Amino acid sequence: MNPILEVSRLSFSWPSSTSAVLDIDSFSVAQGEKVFLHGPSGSGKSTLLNLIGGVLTPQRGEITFNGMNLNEMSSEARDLVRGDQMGFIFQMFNLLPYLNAVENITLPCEFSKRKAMRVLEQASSLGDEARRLLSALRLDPHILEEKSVTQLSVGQQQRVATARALIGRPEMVIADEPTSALDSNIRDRFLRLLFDECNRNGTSLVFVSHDLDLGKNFDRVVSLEEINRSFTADTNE
Amino acid sequence: MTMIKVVIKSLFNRKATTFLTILSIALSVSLLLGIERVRSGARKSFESTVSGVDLIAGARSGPVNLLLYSVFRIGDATNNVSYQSYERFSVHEKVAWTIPISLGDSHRGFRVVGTNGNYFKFYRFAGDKKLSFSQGKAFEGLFDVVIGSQIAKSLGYSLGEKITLSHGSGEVSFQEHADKPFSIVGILDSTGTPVDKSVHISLEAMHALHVDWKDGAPPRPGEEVSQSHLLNMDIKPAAITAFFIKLKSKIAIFNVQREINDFREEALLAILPGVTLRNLWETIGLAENALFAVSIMVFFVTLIGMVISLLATMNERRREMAILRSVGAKKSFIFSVLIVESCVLTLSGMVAGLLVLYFGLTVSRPVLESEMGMTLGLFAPTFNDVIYLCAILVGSVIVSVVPAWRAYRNSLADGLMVKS
Ligand SMILES: Nc1ncnc2c1ncn2[C@@H]1O[C@H](COP(=O)(O)OP(=O)(O)OP(=O)(O)O)[C@@H](O)[C@H]1O
Ligand SMILES: [Mg+2]
Repeated sequence: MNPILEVSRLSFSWPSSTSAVLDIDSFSVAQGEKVFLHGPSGSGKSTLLNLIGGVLTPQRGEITFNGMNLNEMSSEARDLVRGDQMGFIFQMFNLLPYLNAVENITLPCEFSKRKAMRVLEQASSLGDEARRLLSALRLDPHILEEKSVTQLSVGQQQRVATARALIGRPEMVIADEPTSALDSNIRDRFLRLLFDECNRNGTSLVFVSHDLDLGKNFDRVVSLEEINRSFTADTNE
Repeated sequence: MTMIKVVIKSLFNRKATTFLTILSIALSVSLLLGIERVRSGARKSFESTVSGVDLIAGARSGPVNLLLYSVFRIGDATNNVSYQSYERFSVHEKVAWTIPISLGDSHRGFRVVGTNGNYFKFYRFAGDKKLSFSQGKAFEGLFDVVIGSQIAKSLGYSLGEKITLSHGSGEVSFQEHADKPFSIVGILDSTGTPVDKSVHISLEAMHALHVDWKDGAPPRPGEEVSQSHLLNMDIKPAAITAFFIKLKSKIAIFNVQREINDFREEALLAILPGVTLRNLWETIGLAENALFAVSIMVFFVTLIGMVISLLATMNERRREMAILRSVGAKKSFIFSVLIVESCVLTLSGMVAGLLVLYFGLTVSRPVLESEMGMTLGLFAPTFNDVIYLCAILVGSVIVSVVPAWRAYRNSLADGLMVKS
């Protein structure tokens, strides 16, 4: 399979520090592949995701996403790639508190014409697709629409955030410890639902977690310690 | 579209601070525009104290002094104008009409103005308003008096009442014309000008009060001329203090002015009231500038308040910005959110401020008009107002660069993930 993401000879250091956090010779994700990325706290997992998302640029090396070399693009063009072709889920507080669940889910379509168009190819409206995703993730859209997203449980919030990452069928979903606030029962169900939706659309997944147990469900488990030559995890953890 | 939606919903989510910010902007906008209205209203009513008069003439002194005693009845003339000179110009071929003014006496602190029927016929103020009587009519008899509205109100006078005048203009005068009482035959409507505080008698009466005086001293006992005797005398005034002139054609203004200023027989001065009024306003206008400066400062404080309230929420909103970035928002979007936010706050504050202004104007207008003779326009925002509003908007955009830059920097540092 063709790689959707290819990272090669990448080196990144924060402006405030002299040594590189990341020095990765090669890391790639195939189309539709689900990669589990783990590593100790402070090892640079979130930093790598920021680089893939085009928010940070490496000092050296290349990040190629869906055939495009992100480093050669303007930051606006990278923002567009991120908006059009990626979806993000974070650990907690993923939602804008002033938008309801459906508005939160359809938010990426406001920034990406491509996502909006892809939704409208299959659904009659953005809201319909949001509600479909919610039911696919076993949430009752009617209950959600009456509630403010801040009144939802953490598990419910994470599913709304997942629906937002999935809407418009992005090429890749990037999740940074989305399950760390969930108990194991809910976590397993959450993961299954996420996988189902990714499989439906052939979406690639890069999933970061401390929780090595989860790794067994993925196509591939990658340890950042192994691929990162300038490994500097926090020693006190 | 997305931007406006995000901004409005985000502001709505912070109702309390948003409300307070809009309120403070509204108050400062209404204060600024309100002060502006009062400023122009005060100036207008000042400049329209007397209107429809082409020239004011009096004994030679300073123009401001002449204006002060003839129009505002403040201070005294250094010299009189002889009645012959006055008559000379009142029948001048280019003159349409004249109003003589003779000052010197007072009634319980209110100035007495000796004049003739022209005063009630031709005097104009506030553009083209005529004097009108709320009760009674103009004086006819020698000992008739017409009083201004404020005198009637503050001293509680009514038609037919008898009053006596005092010599000089002090509040307390030892030299009463007690032997020659006047009866009130007319009370004027309120004008908001010094007319409200004037006691009007005829020039003949003014002269009659003083026929038995010699060299500014009251008559010696036994030399008084009685009131009944005066009524049978043929009295011709000898002097007046100043006179208002209306010309048949405005073109002749400077000619006639020169003619009066060059008058051989007597040292006279003629002024254009509009010009002198404006000069006078400029000198006393310092207070108005101070008022304006204060409102400008209030406005700056408001802007700073808005920036502080935006900055105060900045930390809580780092996550909001990171989420927006993660769904595809550009860096410039984050910057613009704050700018648009302050525009929305300012615009809402302006609308609310205009509502407050018009409400305040509607409420205070009748009071200001009757008490101070100040007409505040209840008109749509003027060109000046629009300039101010634009300046306010521009100012708010400029100051909101501070929180916008802060949000931008934060968002660059945070990337997609906010720690904590
Ligand atoms: N904005 C930043 N500026 C400077 N240094 C940073 C910044 N963010 C992270 N770092 C540093 O980069 C290193 C990697 O941080 P990163 O957040 O990527 O770790 P992580 O693997 O995601 O850890 P965790 O599992 O705790 O989330 C750390 O040493 C951290 O101190
Ligand atoms: Mg992390």
